[in-house]
Amino acid sequence: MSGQRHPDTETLASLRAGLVGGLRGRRLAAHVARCGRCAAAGDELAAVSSLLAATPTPPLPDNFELRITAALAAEVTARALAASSSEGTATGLAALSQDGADPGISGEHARARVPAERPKAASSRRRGPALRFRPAMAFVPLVVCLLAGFGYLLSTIGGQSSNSSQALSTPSAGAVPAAGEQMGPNLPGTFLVAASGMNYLRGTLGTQVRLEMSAQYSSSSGRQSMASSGGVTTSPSAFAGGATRSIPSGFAAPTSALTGCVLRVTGGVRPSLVDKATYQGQPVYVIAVPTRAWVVGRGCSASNPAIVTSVALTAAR
Amino acid sequence: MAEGEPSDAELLRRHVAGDLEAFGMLFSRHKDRLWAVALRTVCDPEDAADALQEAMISAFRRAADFRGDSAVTTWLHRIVVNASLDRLRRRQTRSVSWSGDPDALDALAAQAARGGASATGPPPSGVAAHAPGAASLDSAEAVETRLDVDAALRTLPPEQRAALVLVDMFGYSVADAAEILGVSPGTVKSRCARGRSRLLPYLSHLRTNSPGGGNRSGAASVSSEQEGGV
Repeated sequence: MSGQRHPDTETLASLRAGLVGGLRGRRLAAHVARCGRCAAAGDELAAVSSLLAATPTPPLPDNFELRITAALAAEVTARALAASSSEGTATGLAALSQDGADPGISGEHARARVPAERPKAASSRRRGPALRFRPAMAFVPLVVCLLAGFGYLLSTIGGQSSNSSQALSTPSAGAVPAAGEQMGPNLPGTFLVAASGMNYLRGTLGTQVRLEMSAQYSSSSGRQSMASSGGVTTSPSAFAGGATRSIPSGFAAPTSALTGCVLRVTGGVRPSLVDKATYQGQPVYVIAVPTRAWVVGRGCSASNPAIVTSVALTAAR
Repeated sequence: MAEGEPSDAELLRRHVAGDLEAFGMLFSRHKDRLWAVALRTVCDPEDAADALQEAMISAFRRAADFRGDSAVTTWLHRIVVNASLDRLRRRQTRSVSWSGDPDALDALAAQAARGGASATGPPPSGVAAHAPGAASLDSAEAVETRLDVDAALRTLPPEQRAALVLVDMFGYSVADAAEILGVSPGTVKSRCARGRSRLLPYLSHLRTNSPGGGNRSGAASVSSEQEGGV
């Protein structure tokens, strides 16, 4: 054997992977079978695979999941709008006007803002053939609710939103930042779900909602010092240390169904409050923007908002 | 997937048919696995999240193009891997020497170790360092091992790393990995073989520490030498 060479590790790895056949493969295999050194190297290569298999990967952090869920919720809204476009928008706008559920933005305003800004991920993609237009009859009710908010949604979505669009997302009187603002990008679908434990009552719903919004604002302001330095979700190092702290205790990330529910109920406006609570003793979510609050069933989703009641929020009396 | 829940194919069919919640369910079902593949491929949490988001939006829009000649998960993984590799290519045009943000990934790994969570499901039996409840006991060693593996993976070319991650780390068959990567099974085998041999010098010291591993030393890097042989 002297004067001959050991195969290098890449050759051994190729042999183990079945990539070396024929006479050369047989000679290599015969060599490895009688060479302790090469057999050991083969074992080491097998150990690399075992080590990789045994190395866990961290689960998707909540703040990233929230971001992606919000982006998908925006896609759902865009899809509903596309479907409505094929059906005509007049009916939807008329119904919206009659319903009077406009949370502070008109349909015209919404449409005017559509081209202005797009979601970060969506902006790099071309619309068109990839977004299919389908029979929309089943989505008309959803479209009606989402239409006004969609342009607004696009105008506010994305971490680079302008101040003006941000101001629009939390309009005027008594505007209270959503707890989700700690999550980074000002996405309409980026919010946190509080669990206040409050039992909202029919006669005092508006007052209770305003109080809870104020309480959360105070609470989130106190936490800003923790989350503000460097931005929780904008830098990898901040992210790395902040994947758990980015969701404060007492809050939880919404499910995709709840995100769709909230976007539908608010018409695409970022909520100031989403509270997992009870209403008249029944388990509900309370969703609020600065001008209106809704009580919805726990099974609320984009296709089935399950609205129990709603109330206009006026300035504190 | 629990009994009675719709299959992946059914969810995708519903999504194509206009169900507004079906895709969200699909994402929720596979998010951790898809995230794991993205993270291991791009080696940076922020970029992995961006890649996963791009991939999910792409899948959302192109669902009607899915022909059903592979599993839905394979299709999703293919989109995620492609988005991850695209992101790496775009990044390489900006910085030739970039090799991931070790601090971000290391901190994420350390955090996961404290939480004892894993996106890749239960670890193989006998790997006590990664078992629930053992995290605190062996956390320092487990984290150190994970960091070494992370650092070693970052030394591989992206395509090689993607193949090795799919086959060795996540247990995909060579055929499935080939479908996900859009290459032949032979190419997957070749990339894996080269990847393993390149990782060997970085990881051989860990074998003696890992439960179930032997104490055989030496031969970490068998180069061509004049000593017996073929």
